[in-house]
Amino acid sequence: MNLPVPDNYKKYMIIPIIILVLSLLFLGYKLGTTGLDLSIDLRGGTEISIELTSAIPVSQIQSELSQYNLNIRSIESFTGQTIILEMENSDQVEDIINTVEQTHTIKGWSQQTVGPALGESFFAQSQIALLLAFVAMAIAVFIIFRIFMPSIYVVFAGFADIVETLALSQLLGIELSLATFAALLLLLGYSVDTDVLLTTRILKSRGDLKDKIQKSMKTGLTMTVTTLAALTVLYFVAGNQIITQIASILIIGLLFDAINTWIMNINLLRMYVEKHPEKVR
Amino acid sequence: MEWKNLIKEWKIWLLVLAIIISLFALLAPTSSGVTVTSISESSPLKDDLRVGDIIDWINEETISSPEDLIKFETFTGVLRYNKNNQLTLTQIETPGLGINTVKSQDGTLNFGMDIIGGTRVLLEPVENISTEVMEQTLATLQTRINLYGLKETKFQTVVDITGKNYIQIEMAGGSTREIDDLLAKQGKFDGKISKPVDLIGGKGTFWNKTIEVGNCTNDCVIIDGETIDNTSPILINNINFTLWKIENSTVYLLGSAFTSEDIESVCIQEQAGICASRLIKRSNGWEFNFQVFVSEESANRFAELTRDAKKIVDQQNEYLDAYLILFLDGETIDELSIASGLAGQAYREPVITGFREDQTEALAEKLRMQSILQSGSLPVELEVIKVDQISASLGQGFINSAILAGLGAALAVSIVIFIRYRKIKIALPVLLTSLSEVLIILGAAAIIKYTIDLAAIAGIIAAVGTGVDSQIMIIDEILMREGEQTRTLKQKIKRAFFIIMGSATTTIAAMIPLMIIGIGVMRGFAIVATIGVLIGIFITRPAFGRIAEVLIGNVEEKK
Repeated sequence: MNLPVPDNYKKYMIIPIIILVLSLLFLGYKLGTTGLDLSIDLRGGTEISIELTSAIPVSQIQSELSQYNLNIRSIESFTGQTIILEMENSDQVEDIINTVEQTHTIKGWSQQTVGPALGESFFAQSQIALLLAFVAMAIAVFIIFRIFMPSIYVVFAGFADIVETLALSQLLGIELSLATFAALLLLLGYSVDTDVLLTTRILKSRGDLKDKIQKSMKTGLTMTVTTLAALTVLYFVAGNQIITQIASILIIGLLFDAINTWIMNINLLRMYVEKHPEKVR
Repeated sequence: MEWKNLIKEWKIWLLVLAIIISLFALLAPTSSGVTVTSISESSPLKDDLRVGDIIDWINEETISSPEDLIKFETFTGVLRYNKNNQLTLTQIETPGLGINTVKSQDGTLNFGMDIIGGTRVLLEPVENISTEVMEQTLATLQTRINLYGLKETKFQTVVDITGKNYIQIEMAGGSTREIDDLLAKQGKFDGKISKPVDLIGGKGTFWNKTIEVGNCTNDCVIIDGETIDNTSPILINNINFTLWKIENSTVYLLGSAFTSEDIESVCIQEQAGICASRLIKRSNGWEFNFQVFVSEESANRFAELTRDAKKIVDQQNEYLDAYLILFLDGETIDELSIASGLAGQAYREPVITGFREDQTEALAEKLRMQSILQSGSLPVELEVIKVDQISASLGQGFINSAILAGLGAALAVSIVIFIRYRKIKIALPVLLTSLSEVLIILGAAAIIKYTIDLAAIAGIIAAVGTGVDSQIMIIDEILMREGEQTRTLKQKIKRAFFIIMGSATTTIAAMIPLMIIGIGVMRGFAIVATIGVLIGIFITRPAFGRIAEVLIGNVEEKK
């Protein structure tokens, strides 16, 4: 099975660049207007998750609980239906659970309440964590390769992955939470995996350039596909909101990573090698 | 032939050793409590217990075998026991438990609240406090929870990057009600005696001082020139007084007799002739009472406050025209009449009473009050700023789906590997290595008694994910031919590990900021992911490298 390694590769690089620009524009727009969609652990509030044994239309729940000022969402999953209720005031939690229990069977429920000041603090800390991780990784990459430009490409690809994943997830309505932050960090780690592989193969092995690219792509895409397969199973079977959130962020991220690594990074490296053939050992 | 080569490899032995240790750690049964096997019809516990329930604590004693229950066969009173990690209270009138039990086997993995259900709360002191005060607060909280026997309650101080201190309480099987009413409550106890003073023409005398109604926005009176209202106390004869109310032409003052510091001990368990702690059925509900023992000084204050009280006769009983009002955190919890015989006596054993319509609620309220009074008031007021609560059933369902998801993911990965390489020889070792990595991580968690919660599970997923990637890299390096020259197998493995170390380093680099800044979810995730990656680099992946070398070795890749 031969993967395509075109000769006139430069024109394909437009694609990842356009995606990156669109993502930056979208994020810029979002930050400038409503701000990012945050989950309650980053903005404060109370959220209850109730798992029901049978599926009920959201409109029905809405009318049953109309006396409370609630924001209601519903998630269908393998194991049943989960309704998620958002409210300002955590005092009503028990009343609400009792009301729902009167007409439906509840398998279980969970509550999360975060004070707004704490939520803000978490958000600030998460951003710092992301920044630090980025810097730490960039340093690690430079130490491994000791060559300037290719290391920049790796870091750049990681940056693009994060920005694009953030943009698409916000567009799809996935709220940013502590768990999704953790997923973004994990994504950074994975994304660098594939880029490090690519760069090592190209710069530190012998042989025809095209051949090297071909083989790295095979390895890299196998890695990505296995991870995607596992994540997809997790997404559908795990039945827990946090795991589902992490899985969806990673799936989106890995797909973007595939584009950024195998269309952008690889071609930047090609250009670099063609200009500096002596750098290849 | 190939297998013989493998047996000589120390890396393989290291992996096998790690797997064996982990299996032991995970499977070695530890006893924790007893499981109920039968309940007789006449058992006082038959409404509260079911066959299969696990009991590991009764009345502050740990239960680890059926023999430990023998001493409770003659017990009467309120039995407080830990059933499936939940505190249960049952009133036993006639001795005899009427149940049969066997020693329970419990898993060795410590599961977190996300999985077994419970409540996690983050409390913030309302003002900045020193480390000593923080320690004191934790100690008080620990005392409060002791009566409740919730073994799974963990107290921790958490510091965020701005240096702010928080207290995190995690209760398996608890609910937010317990936290709000028991732990977050400051617990300031006050016992005050009401002193009525009659006024004529707006003026009167109290203990040789003049008293008159003052002119304030809220009610106030002036005693010898000093103004008091219902908040700020003044000292009269070394006793703190506040204003309670003004009704018609009578001023009611409150003199403080007892405070939290004056309580020396609380009667938890009724002991004939020593102290009283009872539950009594009334016509419309249940009344509970228990004695507290107070300091001599406070008893003397009581004596002084009641010395000049007038007597009232009501049917056959004589009472004082003074009442003992009990406050908890500023709220009135009881108004007790004082028998006239106590006037001027140093009363050292006041009795706290309460009433609830429901028996279970009466028992619960009694225990709550005993707990708060015994532990004393918290040195600082605590505010609840974060609550996570998960019902146990949700948690159990999660374990099942997690196992299912794990197996499904393993299968999916194996299928992809098989499609790519078309050899069971390759797909099988990958599958087995990944599974052994999960096993070793869990084994390590069991040994260090690390709590497995959602963050930990996510961390395991992360670590194993990078593990699979590393294995694929190793396989491809071995199979790869580079143009005309072929490297030796050793060189190929070396390069594969260069890439693997590189990716492991960057993964750990990404996790470190999380561990430092780490709050809750993020920190646990980062720690487990890092442990997993380290186990991978030092144990599982080197072993896999050798296995791959031997099994795949000089096989050429099929184009």
